[in-house]
Amino acid sequence: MTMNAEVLSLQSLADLERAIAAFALTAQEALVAMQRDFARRCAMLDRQEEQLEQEVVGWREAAQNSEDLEELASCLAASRHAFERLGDVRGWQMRVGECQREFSSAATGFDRLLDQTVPRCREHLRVKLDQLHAYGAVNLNTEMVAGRGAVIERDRVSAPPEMPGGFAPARVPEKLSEICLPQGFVWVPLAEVSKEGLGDVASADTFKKVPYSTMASGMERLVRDVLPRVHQDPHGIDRYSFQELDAAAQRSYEDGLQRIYEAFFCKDFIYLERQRGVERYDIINGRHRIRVALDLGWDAVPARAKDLNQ
Amino acid sequence: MSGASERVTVAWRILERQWEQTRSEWRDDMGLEFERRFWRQFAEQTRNLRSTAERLDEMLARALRSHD
Repeated sequence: MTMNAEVLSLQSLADLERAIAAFALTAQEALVAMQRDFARRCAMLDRQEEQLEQEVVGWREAAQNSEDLEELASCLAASRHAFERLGDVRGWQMRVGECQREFSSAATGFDRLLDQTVPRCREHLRVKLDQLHAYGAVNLNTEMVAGRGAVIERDRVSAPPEMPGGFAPARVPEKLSEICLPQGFVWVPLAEVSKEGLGDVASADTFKKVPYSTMASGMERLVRDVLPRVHQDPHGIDRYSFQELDAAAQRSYEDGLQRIYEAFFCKDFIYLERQRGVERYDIINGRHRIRVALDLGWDAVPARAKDLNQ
Repeated sequence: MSGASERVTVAWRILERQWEQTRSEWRDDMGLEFERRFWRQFAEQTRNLRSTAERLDEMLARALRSHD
């Protein structure tokens, strides 16, 4: 499948889709507010007209009931003045009415844009994003360098090869801790994590829930296969994106990427807390993964962290 | 300008900046396709709304001021 389309950054597509959604939301609320505001001010102008009409009628009645010429002249003068002001207000009403019709027409067009074009436009972008996800446009080699953290290597050709769906892979940072993470997650340097408590998970025998080798292999796949995709669309990607990839590749849940993603970015995420005045984070959850991360030479782990110093 | 108009203007500027960013990262034909299918409508409808809202806002302000 080839399309005449290419982007250098999937993130950019996702950002545009989100920006359009945010614009539509703000614009819809603002449009309603504008319409209310204009209606309120038009009603104020109408009330001015009504008041002046009543004033004219009042002065005319007063003139009819006047008892002398001086009072009659005074009432007629006041009536004329009120009538002139009434004419003035009606002139403004006509001009405002003309502007209001133009605005209503523009508002109808704008409303149609928000109601019809925006959903189509977002769908168009989502299809492009899905194509990229589905065809797994990322093709990275990973090298773990003990003691120096994980380094992701990618093909350094000047122009990225065209991928199925017309997309090209996004640029992924070489340093692990520069890879974008889902909302709420941060890279916490392992140097800032307390090693107390890791003594309990020093040997492979202590890995009862998930064997050490399985965990280490899963964490390597996290770097190689999961994080590059997360980096491209950290706010849009979720467990279902990996479920689809697993299904497309006919991988079981146990052997799939969804499980690895869930282990780090769903309910069993690594959780760290740094108490006020303390230098290092305590490990609240994820000791085994941190043990393996240290063994693999990572310099940081993706986690949710609470820092009471901040 | 009313607060609501201001909000549309600010939201539009943000979207425009994102579009320029995304456009710079798209190959020309994909950018042109998106521009033709969607972006021109966004720009035209938003421009119409803002200009007519500004005119009506100004007209109402003058009308109400003249008889305060």
